[in-house]
Parts: sequence; C-alpha cells; structure tokens
Amino acid sequence: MIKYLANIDFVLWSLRGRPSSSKWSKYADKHPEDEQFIRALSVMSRLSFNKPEMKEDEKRGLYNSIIAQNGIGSKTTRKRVISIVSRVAAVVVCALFVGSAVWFGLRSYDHNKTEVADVRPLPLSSVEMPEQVTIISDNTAIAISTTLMARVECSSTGEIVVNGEQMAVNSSESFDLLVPKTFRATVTLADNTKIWLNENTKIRISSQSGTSARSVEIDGEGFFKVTHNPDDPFVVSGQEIAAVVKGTTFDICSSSNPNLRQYVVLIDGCVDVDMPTIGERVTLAPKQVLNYNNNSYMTTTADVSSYIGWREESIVINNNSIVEVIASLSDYYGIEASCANRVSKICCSGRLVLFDDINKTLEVLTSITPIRYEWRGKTLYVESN
Amino acid sequence: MAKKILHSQLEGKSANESFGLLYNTYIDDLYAFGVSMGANHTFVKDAIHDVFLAMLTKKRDLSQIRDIESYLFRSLNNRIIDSWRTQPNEVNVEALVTVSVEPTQAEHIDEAYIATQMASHLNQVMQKLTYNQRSAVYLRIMCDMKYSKIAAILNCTEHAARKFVSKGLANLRKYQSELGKWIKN
Repeated sequence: MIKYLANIDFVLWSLRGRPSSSKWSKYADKHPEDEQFIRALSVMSRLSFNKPEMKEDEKRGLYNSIIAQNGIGSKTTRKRVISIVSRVAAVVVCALFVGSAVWFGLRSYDHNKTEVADVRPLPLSSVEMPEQVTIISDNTAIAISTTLMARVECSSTGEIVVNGEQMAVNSSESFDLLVPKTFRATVTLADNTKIWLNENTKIRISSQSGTSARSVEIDGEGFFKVTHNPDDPFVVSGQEIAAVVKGTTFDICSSSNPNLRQYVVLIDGCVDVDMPTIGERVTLAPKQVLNYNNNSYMTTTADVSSYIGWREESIVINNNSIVEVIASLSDYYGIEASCANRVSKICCSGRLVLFDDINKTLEVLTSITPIRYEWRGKTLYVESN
Repeated sequence: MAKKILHSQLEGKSANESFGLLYNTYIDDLYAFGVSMGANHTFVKDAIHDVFLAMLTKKRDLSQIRDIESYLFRSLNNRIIDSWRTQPNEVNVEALVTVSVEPTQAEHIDEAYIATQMASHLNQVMQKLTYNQRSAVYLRIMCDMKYSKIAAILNCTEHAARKFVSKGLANLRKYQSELGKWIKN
C-alpha cells in the first residue's frame, strides 16, 4: 500500500478520477489480485480535489450586477468617476449656497420681507421610522398597531379604520403610513385598491378625493392589487422608479436604502414602469421582473412566488438548510436565535406559513423536520432530534 | 475540468445569449481557480465581475478574442497578481484536497487516518509552492489544460510553463516519498 501512496503519479491519477488511458489503469486490469494496490485505492477513495463553489443565488446576483452595470464601467473606473463628480458637485453646491444666501440677504434688506415657513411635508425617505406601525397626518403621529399585522381601511366618506377601530384622522387629507421592522400592514383605499406593505416600508397616500386620488409614494416594498379604472391611472412613485397602472396586480420594491434592490414584479395585467432618472418607460408583461440598479435596468421572466412570498405571510423554502430558515424567522419576528452545528445538515423545501405567534410556526416546522427547539431566555435555540 | 467554448457555438446567438453561455460555462472554474490561488472570496467575486464586465464593454465582438477560456483565466490571474502588489499579506490558499473521514467499517479507521494525514500534507506542500508553480500545477492537473494554454494564462513561454509544472510536481514528489517513510513507521 505504502509504495503506491508514496507515488505522486498514483496519487494524482487517483485524484483525477482514474482516467483509463493511464498506466495505472492497465496495472489495475493486469493485477486484480494485488491487495496492497486495492487498499491504496481504498485510502485514495476518501480523498478528492476541493472545488470551491459559489451558491446559485450568488452566481445569479453577480450575473445581474454585470448586466446592469454594462456600459457604466468597471468598479475601479466607476469609483474614479464618482470621485470627480462628487468634487464638482461639492463646488456647485457651495456656489449655490453662497449665491442664494447673498440673494436672500439683499432681498430682505431691500424690501423688509419675512420668509414664510415651508409647510411642505418632509420627503418620505427623511421621515424617521418609529418602533410601531404609525400614521402621520397633518404633522400628528399616531401609533396604530402593536400586533404584527395592521389593517387600514379608507372609506369613501373619508374615515380611516385600523384593525376595526375608527381613527381620529381623515383620509380626505394625504397621510403617511410607516411600517417598521417585523411588522406588516394592509391598506384598502376608497376605490377598493388593496396594498400589502412589507416591513421597513413607508407609504404616502394622497388625499382620497380630488385629482390625485389614485397616487401613492413608497419607500420600501409593497404589493398592489389595483381596482380597474381605464380613465384614471393609478401611480405608484418609488425612489427612482414609478409604476403607472390601470388595473393590475404587481409588487414594487423601491427603497432609499442603497443596500436594497429596486424592482417591479408583475403578477397579472399590465404595468408601465417609468424611470425618470434615465428618461425611459418600459411596459411589463405578466411574470416579468424589472430590476433597476445604478441608472440601468434589466427585465427578465422569473418565478414570481419568490418575490411575493412575504405578502402571503409565508416564506418559500427551496432546499434551504434549517439554519437559513431559522435566520429568516429571526429576521421576521425580530428575535435572537442560534442553532446547533448538526442542524446545518438538515434541509427542507416547501412553503412555511408565518403565524403571529412564533411558537405556532415553530411547531409546524418541528413536525415536518427532525429538529426541536427551546427558549433560553429571549433566545431561540434549535437542535436536531 | 475546464470546458471549451468555440466561436462556432456563439454564432447566431444574440450578445446577451452569448454572454449568458460564457458566464454559465466558466463561472465555476474561474471562481475555484481564484479561491484556490489564495485570493479571498469577496475579492474573487469582484474580480470575476470586472473580468466579465470588461469583456462585455471592451470586446463587444467576441471574435476578437482568439481563445476565450485563456482570455478569462488570464484576466482573472492578472487581477489577482495586481491585488497582491497592493495587499501582499492577504494570501490564504484554499485546500487542494478534501478528505472524507467517516469510517465505514472498523478496520478502515487506519485508512481514514492515513487519508487525513495525506490530505493535510498535500495541502501544506501546495501552499509552499511559488505562485506560478501552484497555478501551473492547478491548471494542468485540475483543469487538464495544455501547456500552450497555461503559458498564455501565466503570460510566459511554453517552456517556462512546463518548468513550473515539473518543479511543482517535483516538490510534491519529494514530499510524497517522505510521507511514505512516515507511513512505514
């Protein structure tokens, strides 16, 4: 055995999958009785070449990133361009600031005018995210829900009802609805359009009467089921993309957070996506996804269920390990969790319904996989049976 | 083993389809090569991103590239070498060989132990090779490439590529005979 294992040519032949053209293959055929050779092969069968691999979603993400950035330049070139542009922008901003200060100074000196405070609301991206689901109307913030799901209904008479309780705000004025981490919300508008809002999402709903009745602004992710009205398009404005629809079902993710992707997913009907920054408009067909990134976009046909799983209060598990599933639950319920090492080898597939009570969800998970869980203080601990 | 894409396979395909085919064919081999040469995972992903992006933007006509596989490996190799000029300490060579040690029968415990020691020593010797020897041995053994292709990737003559491989294998051979003595004891 040793004379074979000490021979690098034998070792490499064995590691390369024992190609039949080698002298070692011929030797094996001629000497099937050589026990030392067979034992050496047995040792070598435990060894294999290591081939580090990227995960499928990493590969897909890298591909999308390359396609999206085609034409913008490599990362190093881009950094250089950004550096030059930001320097020029800084000079322009300084010049504008000094210029406007001088202009307003002269005006107030000459005409003795007082400036009226700007009463326009803050941009949605600047509104601070509270700890509970909150409505802001007329500069008044009202925390409306401590449960994981808030249901907001706007009636045609201007009343707003949250989880069955009437609120002291009126939908004849525009209002902001803020949904922090771990919470979800649904909104039913006066025209019966229904909106599902994911966590970390802010939405500004315009007055439910008048010409802008069918327009909202969103910073985060929302799923829209828009009531059909061919004469009055419904406009959803994101941070850099906007969707114009007449009656359809789609999902939009457009956040001011640069770490989040911006995309529109069409379930059925038809949606026009406006990208004002690059002056383009694209019409999507059902099951198409438009990804927007760094002033460029790409449309693909995709499995929409992976995009809208969050809305159905469930997560889609596709041969993921239990560790990944527990990490998703940890994010969703906002809890700390840890898993024993052996759990990482257990994988499962399917759709896991997310109940309001995490224990109910975990009971379902433990009934279909060989794991058990316990609470150690506020930390969830998961191990295999 | 690296696969070869010929220009004839790209004929009649749109730019996006050609790119998708090239990406899917080479992404795994490029990533494995980069990581096995000691670059960290994030850097390899960024470098592959830039390699493909450069191919898309600068070489719109793929017929300009004589050998696509060599072009991709060589671009990645150049980026790895460039990165070490600026950050020479970030070298962490990935194990060349992995071992399965779970004994299937009682008498196989010795075999599992020997296999573990062999893997450990092989990986140590691979780490001791120079960069050119390691990459040449890797491309020759893992990717089954011809010397002319290895020479194109490492930017050297074919003679030099043969020398890198033979010196690398000589080092492995030397170690292997030492391991033989150790097993006897």
